[in-house]
Amino acid sequence: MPYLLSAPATAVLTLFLAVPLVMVLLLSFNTFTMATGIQPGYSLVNYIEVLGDEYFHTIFGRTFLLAACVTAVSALIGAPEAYIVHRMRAPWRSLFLLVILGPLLVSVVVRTLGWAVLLGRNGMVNVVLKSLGIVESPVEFMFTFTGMTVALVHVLVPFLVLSVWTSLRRLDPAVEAAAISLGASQITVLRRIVLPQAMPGILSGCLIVFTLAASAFATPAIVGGRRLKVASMAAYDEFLNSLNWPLGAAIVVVLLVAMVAIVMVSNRVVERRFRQVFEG
Amino acid sequence: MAFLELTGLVKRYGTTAAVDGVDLAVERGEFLSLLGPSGCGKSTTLMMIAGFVDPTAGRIAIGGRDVANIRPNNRNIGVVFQSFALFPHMTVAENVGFGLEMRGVAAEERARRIADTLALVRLADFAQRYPKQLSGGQQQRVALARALVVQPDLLLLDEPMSSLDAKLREEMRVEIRDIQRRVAITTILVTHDQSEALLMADRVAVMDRGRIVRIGRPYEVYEDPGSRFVCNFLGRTNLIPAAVIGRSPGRSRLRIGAVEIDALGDAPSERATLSLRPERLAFAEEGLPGKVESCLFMGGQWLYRVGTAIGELLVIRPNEGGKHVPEGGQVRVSWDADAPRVVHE
Repeated sequence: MPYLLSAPATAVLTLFLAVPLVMVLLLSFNTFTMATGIQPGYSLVNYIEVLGDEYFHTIFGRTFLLAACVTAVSALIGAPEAYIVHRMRAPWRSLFLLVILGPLLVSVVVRTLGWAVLLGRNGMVNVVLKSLGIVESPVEFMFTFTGMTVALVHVLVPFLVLSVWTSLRRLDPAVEAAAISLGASQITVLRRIVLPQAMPGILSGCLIVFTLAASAFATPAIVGGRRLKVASMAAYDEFLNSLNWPLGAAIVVVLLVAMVAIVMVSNRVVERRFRQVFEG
Repeated sequence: MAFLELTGLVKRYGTTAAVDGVDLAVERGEFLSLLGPSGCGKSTTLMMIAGFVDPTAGRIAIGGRDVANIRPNNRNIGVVFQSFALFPHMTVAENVGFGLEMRGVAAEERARRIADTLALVRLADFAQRYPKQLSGGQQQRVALARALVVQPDLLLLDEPMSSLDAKLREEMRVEIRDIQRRVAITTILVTHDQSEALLMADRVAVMDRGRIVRIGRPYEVYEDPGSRFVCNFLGRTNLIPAAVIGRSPGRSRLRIGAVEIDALGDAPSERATLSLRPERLAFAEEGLPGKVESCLFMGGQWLYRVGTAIGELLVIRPNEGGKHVPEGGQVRVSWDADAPRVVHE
């Protein structure tokens, strides 16, 4: 019976995830020249190129640096945000949760172009800053690393807030009261009682944000542009511009393997470190 | 002057008063229980003493000092919560040591006091465990140790036994009472469980709708509950409406149908309610005739329903081995002269 119930999901996953993944993997071993097109075969030439070429090193370095920055900023913003929402009273809490989820409700293109309107050379922010005399020349935002980070944090921070909020909801309010009655100040309670218990939520939220940031395409493509390529854009360009599908596939596989490795290692570490909080 | 004094304590939420004028004096070393149904204001009263809830009006004084402006983390009060509220990410020793750490007690002194207190609650071997690795009763004892180790002026117990199973609850009652006597700490227990309050406390304060309606030693309060509410809340009783036909100081003569009964207590009007505790009723040669309608075995006791001229009476008799009166049996119900009580509404 359980097998029967899981059959539809299994079918969907097999058809739309497992099969394409295997096909991409096989594709990455093919070869490509402008003259001959894609040649079937089993060659590591694409992997040698991706792993050996300076150009791809920069792209992968940028991808993971971007993901790390986005994750760090999201954690710094999202964790306190989640705590504040957690402490809110009933009607306000759902209202502010909706506000936090807002960015997810807007299409990626609209949202990103919104950033362009707001923060472009002649965008609203720069106009205001200039007219107030705070800056003389417009602050560069579009096509910068900072711009990509800000735009990605904006859309990914809700995942972190939700993840932290879920772990805070499991927190017994009496535990905070107990710490206070034992003489702890509000700040000590946050640092010694709330934060350690929220840590699993923060870390799993970070993991979600990191993987989404590392594989993001539309936001870095629009805000960062072609000058600041990340791995997903590099794969896209290989597929659609150079028509070198095998090389694109190899980029995708490398990105996937790297991310799976990161997720598995950090899961291991988190589970070991926070066994006490997770158990039971 | 009493060690803990509550004067005219009121807490209003909007227009409803959760606590509606509580006056209470607790002596140093005394164990007092606040007893009442949920929503009677007992927990709110406790939380005001702890400092987690600000009173709307009234005064709380501990050791003669008004604590209105003392924040909960500086009140030096130990609290044991219903959920135990242990720190899940800390070991037992770290849990117990937390309050000492907050008070800046040096590491060696801290280790010694943690060990002493864990020995007091019989958990010496569990110092390095985490709360989730302990049973409910053990968690309860960690919570108690954590509250006691800082040598608080006052120990507050908020329904501390309600998340334990019945057997364990009975053991913990006795154990907590023994520990309280040994360390001689002024203690307030909030509970809705009457047997817990009666068993553990030196004095019981019964609360109803934000007020204390009866306060006294457990035996006094049980035997002379005063009002119908207290009478019903503390133990079981037979409540019978009656007409008042005679009065003398401290006594009333009541009539139910054709039966006349002398009862302790003053009747306020022409009508009164008579209370007869089921365990004070017995079957004898002389007495009110009746017929056993049902007979239930409860292990230590037999529970009878007896139809009589004054209505159906619940009678509880100890199981003394051998015979009991079967269903349908004819009996005569008797009682001692001090068993019938007049209660007011």
